[in-house]
Amino acid sequence: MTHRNRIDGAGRVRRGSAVRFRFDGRQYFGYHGDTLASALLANGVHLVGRSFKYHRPRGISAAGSEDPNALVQLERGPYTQPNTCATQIELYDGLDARSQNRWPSLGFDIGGINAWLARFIPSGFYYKTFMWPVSGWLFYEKFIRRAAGLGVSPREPDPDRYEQLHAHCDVLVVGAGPAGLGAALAAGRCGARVIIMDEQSEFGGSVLGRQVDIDGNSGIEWVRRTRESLGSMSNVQCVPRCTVTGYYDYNFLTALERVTDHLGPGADDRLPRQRFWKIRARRVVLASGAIERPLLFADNDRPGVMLANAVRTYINRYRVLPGRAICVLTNNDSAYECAWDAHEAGARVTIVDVRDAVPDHLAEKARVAGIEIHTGCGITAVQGRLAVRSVDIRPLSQDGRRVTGVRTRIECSIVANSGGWNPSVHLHSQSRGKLRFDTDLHSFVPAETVAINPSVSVGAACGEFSLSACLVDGHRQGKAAAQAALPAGEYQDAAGRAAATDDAPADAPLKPLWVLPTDHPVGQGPRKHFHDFQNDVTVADIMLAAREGYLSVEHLKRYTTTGMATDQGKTSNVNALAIMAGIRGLDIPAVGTTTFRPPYTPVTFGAIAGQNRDELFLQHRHTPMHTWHVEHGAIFEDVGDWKRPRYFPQAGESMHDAVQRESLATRRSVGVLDASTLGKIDIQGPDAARFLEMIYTNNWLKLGIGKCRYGLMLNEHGMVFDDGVTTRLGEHHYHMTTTTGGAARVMNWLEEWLQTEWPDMQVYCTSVTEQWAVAAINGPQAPALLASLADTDLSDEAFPHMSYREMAVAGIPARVFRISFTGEQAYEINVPARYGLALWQALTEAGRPLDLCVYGTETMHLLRAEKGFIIVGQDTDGTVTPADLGMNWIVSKTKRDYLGKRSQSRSHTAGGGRRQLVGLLTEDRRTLLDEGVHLVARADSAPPVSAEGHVTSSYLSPNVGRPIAMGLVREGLSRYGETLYARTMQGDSIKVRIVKPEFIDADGGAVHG
Amino acid sequence: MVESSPIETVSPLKGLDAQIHYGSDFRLVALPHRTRINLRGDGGSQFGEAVSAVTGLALPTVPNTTKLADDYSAELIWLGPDEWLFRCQDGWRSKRATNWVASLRSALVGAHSAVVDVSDYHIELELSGLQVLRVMRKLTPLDLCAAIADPRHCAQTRFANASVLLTCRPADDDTEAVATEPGVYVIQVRWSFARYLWQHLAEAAREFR
Repeated sequence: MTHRNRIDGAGRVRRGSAVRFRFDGRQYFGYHGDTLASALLANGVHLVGRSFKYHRPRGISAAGSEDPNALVQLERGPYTQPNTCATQIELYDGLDARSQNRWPSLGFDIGGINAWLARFIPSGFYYKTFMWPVSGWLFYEKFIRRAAGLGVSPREPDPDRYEQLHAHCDVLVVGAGPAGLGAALAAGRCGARVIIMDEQSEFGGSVLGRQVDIDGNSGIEWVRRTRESLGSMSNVQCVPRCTVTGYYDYNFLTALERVTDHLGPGADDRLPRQRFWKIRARRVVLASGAIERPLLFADNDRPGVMLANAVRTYINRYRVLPGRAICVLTNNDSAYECAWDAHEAGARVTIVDVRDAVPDHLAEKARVAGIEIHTGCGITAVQGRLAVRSVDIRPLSQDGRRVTGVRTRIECSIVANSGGWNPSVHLHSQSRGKLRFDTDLHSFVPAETVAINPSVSVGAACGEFSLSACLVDGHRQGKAAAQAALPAGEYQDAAGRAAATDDAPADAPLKPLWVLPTDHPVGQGPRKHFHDFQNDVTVADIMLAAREGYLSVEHLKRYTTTGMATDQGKTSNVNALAIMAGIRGLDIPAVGTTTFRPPYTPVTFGAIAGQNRDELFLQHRHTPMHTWHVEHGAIFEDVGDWKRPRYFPQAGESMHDAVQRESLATRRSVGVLDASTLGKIDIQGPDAARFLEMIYTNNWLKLGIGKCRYGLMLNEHGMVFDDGVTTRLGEHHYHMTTTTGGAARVMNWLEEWLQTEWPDMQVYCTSVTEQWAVAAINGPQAPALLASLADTDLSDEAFPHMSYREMAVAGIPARVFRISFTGEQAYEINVPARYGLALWQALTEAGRPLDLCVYGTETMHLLRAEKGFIIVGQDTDGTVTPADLGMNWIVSKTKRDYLGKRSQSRSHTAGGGRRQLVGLLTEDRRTLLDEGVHLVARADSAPPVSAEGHVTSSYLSPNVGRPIAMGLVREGLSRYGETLYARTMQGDSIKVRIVKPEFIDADGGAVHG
Repeated sequence: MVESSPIETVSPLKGLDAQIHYGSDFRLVALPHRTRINLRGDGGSQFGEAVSAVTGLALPTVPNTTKLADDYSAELIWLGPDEWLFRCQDGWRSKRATNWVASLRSALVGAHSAVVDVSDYHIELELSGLQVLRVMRKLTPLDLCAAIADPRHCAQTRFANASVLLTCRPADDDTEAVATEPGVYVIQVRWSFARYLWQHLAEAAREFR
């Protein structure tokens, strides 16, 4: 097996370890250590996809995450992933990738017709379809959505697992190139907790793609030793395959670690596919390197046009020579290194330098190697559609804007393109650090940071492009970061010395030229200058945006969509600014710069969700009796986080059947409800009664020990916000119950008042909700049921309604409250949670001869409605006062104060026209009203009709023998006997009569037996 | 009284594995039922002396610290400037929860205080092993190394969506727990969240299976 483009030498691939993979259905092989991109290039495959809008053939153009072109659809079925970057996919055996956005095939793509229609679909055409004709968008949308776009999402659920991991460190080093490695080593030696992350499969950064010497050894050897030193320090964590994607305030950063992506789908069941790091760092060292930017020339998107540094990386790291004839196009010195390496690898190299003069040492080296240099020239045309065959070059005018002289054709299959370097300032910018335009580098470099995000950019990320300076800078800043992060006593001055390397001669200045002219004015002929490859944005599009007035960078970006693709414009942003600056005749800094936003590279939603999926997504809170409910076929409903049994259907029963049966049985004999979820708060202290006086609307000072009382809680606005029964357990000791959903809210409410407004009150509140399991037994046989399990006098005299006793129930120590939410004789039996199931089993056993019925929340709701008892949150909605509920009886007229008192006399609260809670009966005695339905005065009035009120609760009551409802009706308490109409969604009008909300046992005798 | 008769008890972890044990890397087990008493008071010397007279343990007054009996069978945990938790093995010093409540209340008569039996409020999970920090870091944003730099520190924090009380004690010989630095962790989590948290911990430990 041989590769067309593979050259001798190991590089960083394991030549002994071949792996097979497929691309567009064809079988290829590569080596471990290859990326999909390097393996494709080794096999001579340049064409990998079609572009977003014009469907132009596109090839691999870079070697890292900045590549805007090499996006492929990876794997199939549930594992498929769109828009993955071939330069970042590590090769594994059996890898299966396909090109995107082409039909029927990559070589022949029908969508390519868009390229011919280009003049009708310039930038902004998409927005224009919104505007004219008005109905047009609905028509166009289908076609535009299908024609544009890249890969396809999987339709199946994601079979992979992901996880989140929180991390804390003194120093986070982003990037493990020479600067980052130096920083991590220095910080680690100084005693700092260090995390160093790098997006590549191995540490080394630029060293991996270059032949350099460090500390008297090869650069690769230095990386190996440094990695080893870092690995030996317990305070240093090295994380390869991990991209720091977001930088948020207070030095909170997120990172995506690709844990098993390089092994292929489903390779290791124990490990997550990806890990989402949430990092809190005292100091951040940004050693994220720099990204080469391309010169923009005519038809610069042809497969074979690559960044010069990428060509160099493929040669040195992967030992892949992308083509035998390479034309190096540059405006700076750095690309000459690519020329030397390509020459050494056996390529025929030609250099086209837009500068008029080349430094002598470079010219001499080229001469010795026999490499021809065309100075003062630029590429003006590219031949070849699916691959570069040759390029035309012409001399340029002094300002670089015009072509002069004659055309020369250079045969080549690769153009190695370099327009200079942009420091990777993305994370610095995300941290809201400022940028400065460096007029020597012609690049944006990091300037001030913000105080809340202490960080420093080092090495190439800071515009320091020489290796020796990177090593020194990284070391120095790593040490400084450790010193800043560590308390004085913990810092050790043990950073050692920085690694060193022989310096190459200083670079000559680059020529700030951005767009190379062609034979026709830019934008006015067949040749296109692409600057954002992924969103297919050309230089002409920027000119159009400028003509249409979108001069601001933020407008430019949105109008042309430049920089808005998955690559976030890593190779295009600065070029776009430079082009706009050129059009407007301004300096680049005057045009401004856009804000970099997270993520740096795409992050899967799965990783963000982490392990919080399925049963781990949200807690299902269960009561101690839960297993019994499950075993007995309960249908559950969500009440907050709780799973409460809604009803217990017997064989063949519908919900309606079950609820009717449960409701009848409870009033006929006895029913039991799991009421464990009720909020419970233990209140103790000499001021407890005074405290309750303020919290509730009614009187508490005279409640006897062992007695229970119902209370309403209001907020400051005088609106009902919770209710429940509170019992006096001892002299200064109370047990409060709250609604299930209100438990946490009430606890916070009590603490807030105690801690902020009434610190003088001697009261302690302790939540005991989960301490107690509660079974509520209701019905005429409830005393008999309790008597069968408790050896206690249950007579009305010994244990009257609204009182409390401690006793053993079924041998379990219990607190029993004789309180009723059904109007029947009832007991709420509280036992420690661990005994909840035992209590429940004892009750259901003992209840068998009494025809005991187990009921759920639906029946609980129905039974309380038959009595007209409210449910806070159902019959109230935060706008309802006690008076609105007809519950003035529970509001003290004598108390000096209680929470919400003053609001009761507010004009709006005390005035007329308020909606008040009433009972509602349908005239036909059959129709069940929908909860939420609106009530109007007349059956036949045409809309708009003002509503008289709405239905809050509605049930078919088997005990009353007809549907019953409650609702909030305007001045309803004075309208008993009147009729209203419920207007249904179906358009029917149902006649209802307003009644007192008390449908059963109006004299209240049932609770006493 | 009635507590002596054997009554069947139920755990929210019913039906799950009794423990998760991945060699020296990780071990998770639910602790047997403990006596747990919530204490409120001003934390002054009178209060502290009364509590320590009953429990035999000094009242921890340094935030986020605990006082542990020599044999680890009882512990006083700082929860706030006016709140502590006393926990001990059931039957420690021949006392049951009701006895502890009664003793503490009588020792604190006259002092503004609250003594509440919360023995069933939490489930206690014990975690140990070389990778225990790694497992916990998947669930809590707390900097565990800083918050619990050594045993006898405690923290109230969040593990996934569950609020927990986290304590630590030195690993001892007679426990099956794997001895690691700084020690063995105990998570106290509300009854109804225990199952959810257990499942989260099991998932987090999966890589050490």
